[in-house]
Amino acid sequence: MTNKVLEDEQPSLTYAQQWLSSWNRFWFTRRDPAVLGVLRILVGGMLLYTHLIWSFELSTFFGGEEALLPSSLRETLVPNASYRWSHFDWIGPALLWPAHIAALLVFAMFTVGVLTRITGVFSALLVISYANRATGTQFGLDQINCFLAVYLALGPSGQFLSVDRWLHRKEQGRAVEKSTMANLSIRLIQVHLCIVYLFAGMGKLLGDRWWNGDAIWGAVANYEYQTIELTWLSEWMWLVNLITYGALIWEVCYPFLIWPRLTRPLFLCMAICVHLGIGISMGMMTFGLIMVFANLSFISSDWIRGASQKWLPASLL
Amino acid sequence: MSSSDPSNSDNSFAWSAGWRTCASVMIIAYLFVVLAGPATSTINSEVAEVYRRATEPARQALYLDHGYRFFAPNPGPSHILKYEIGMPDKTTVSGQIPDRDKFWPRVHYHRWFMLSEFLFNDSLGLRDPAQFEAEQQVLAERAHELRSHGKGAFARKIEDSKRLAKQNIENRRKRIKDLTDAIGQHLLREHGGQWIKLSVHERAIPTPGDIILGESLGNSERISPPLRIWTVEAIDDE
Repeated sequence: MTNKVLEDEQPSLTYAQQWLSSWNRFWFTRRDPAVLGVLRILVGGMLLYTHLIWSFELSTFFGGEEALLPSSLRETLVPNASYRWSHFDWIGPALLWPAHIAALLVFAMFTVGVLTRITGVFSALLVISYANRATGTQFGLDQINCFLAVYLALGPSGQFLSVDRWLHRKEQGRAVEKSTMANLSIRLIQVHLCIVYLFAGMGKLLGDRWWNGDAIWGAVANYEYQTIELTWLSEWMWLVNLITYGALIWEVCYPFLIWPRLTRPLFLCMAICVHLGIGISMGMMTFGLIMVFANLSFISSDWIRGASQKWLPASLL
Repeated sequence: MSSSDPSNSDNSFAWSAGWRTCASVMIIAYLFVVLAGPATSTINSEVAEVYRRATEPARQALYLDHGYRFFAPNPGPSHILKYEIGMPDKTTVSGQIPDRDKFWPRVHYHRWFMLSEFLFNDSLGLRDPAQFEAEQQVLAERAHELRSHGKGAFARKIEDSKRLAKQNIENRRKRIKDLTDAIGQHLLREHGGQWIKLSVHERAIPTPGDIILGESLGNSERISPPLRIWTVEAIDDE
């Protein structure tokens, strides 16, 4: 009887141990920060660009009571949003431009990797603060910008291809160390991205146009989004059907099939095609690019380091 | 190519078991917050409400309260906010948000485009007042009937939902009024006008057949009559 119980319990214990070991390996192994370094440049550049564009009508969107959407209106527009903090609530009109220029400077410093630990944290706080203030004008770009900025601030993104790295290496001649935080940061990007695709895919499964195969027509034939002429597709609806089903299957399967090494290259290539396609045809290049950047978290650090060693000075690596 | 490939990371842990346990608890708690945005954004169950409320502060503080339902459930028609401004010399100036010719670069255009979509989506929930009052009356009668059958708990639930619906519609009306007032006053200041009429319109998506028959995407006949109209008077600053 006792032996029988032990036999029954042993496999489940082993399974639990295996699961725990997998969990630890997934989150807590050490990783080369090379991918984080590349992402810092790309995402930092995107933060700088998207916030630079706010300069066109800064006081319209971020001014106090004279703004298009005054600060006092924010509570009305987003009910129960008392935790949606923004530094624009604490500064007057006189400090609006100095604060904006300081923010752009922080984004620029983060992009090139100056004082990256500090500028990374400030970049993350700033991008959240801008998004919280500009209620009603945000879209997917802001959502992805925010979580990527937070994860890049968490990991050692300044240890590869950065001014910090260049200075550090010159002074101490140390090689880059693998780090647990680098892995944690990349894993959070990957998991968060899978959550985004999971719900985007499941949401589409509720739409009859995705099942009917003509959803892509609804996207390319929308005048407010259109940037390039794709109405010739009206005579190639079978192609519209194929693209619609392909995009739907890719998105629904992404959270599961991006992990196996066999299917990962295919899913990454699909991601690049889908997002650049949306970017080019629907005038959302910034959104398309930020999604491609997020997908680069699945690229191997070894591959990036190998490619960098061929083209870049050793002092930056 | 593999990021989970052992060759890509060193398997000896740098963190002690205690640190890994602490970090694991934080990771699980954080992912619980991340999931709450998309998982509860379109669900009205009681469990979803508890989940939503429990994670609200963290989601708002970290800007994580999103559904991530891009182009879902269907890519829909777009919405345009048209305006007509009465000037002091009795002429009128008109325009629209978004305006492809006025707003550049594209990210800037999208900011204004999202504003018109935001206004439309919010105004979509504005119901016909008479119809809303009739629905409230039906709910009141049902609660009364349940109470007379000794089902007080069910009656209270219906009364709560009736009260919540009324509160939501009043909040929405106030929100739309405040929003249109703010946009109106901004445009009046910009143009120096005396009054402004704002109207939200929908541009229907043409079918492939319409395009084959020669229609262009920018065909203004695709734009609906006003779905909502608001008029705002300029505030006299003197």
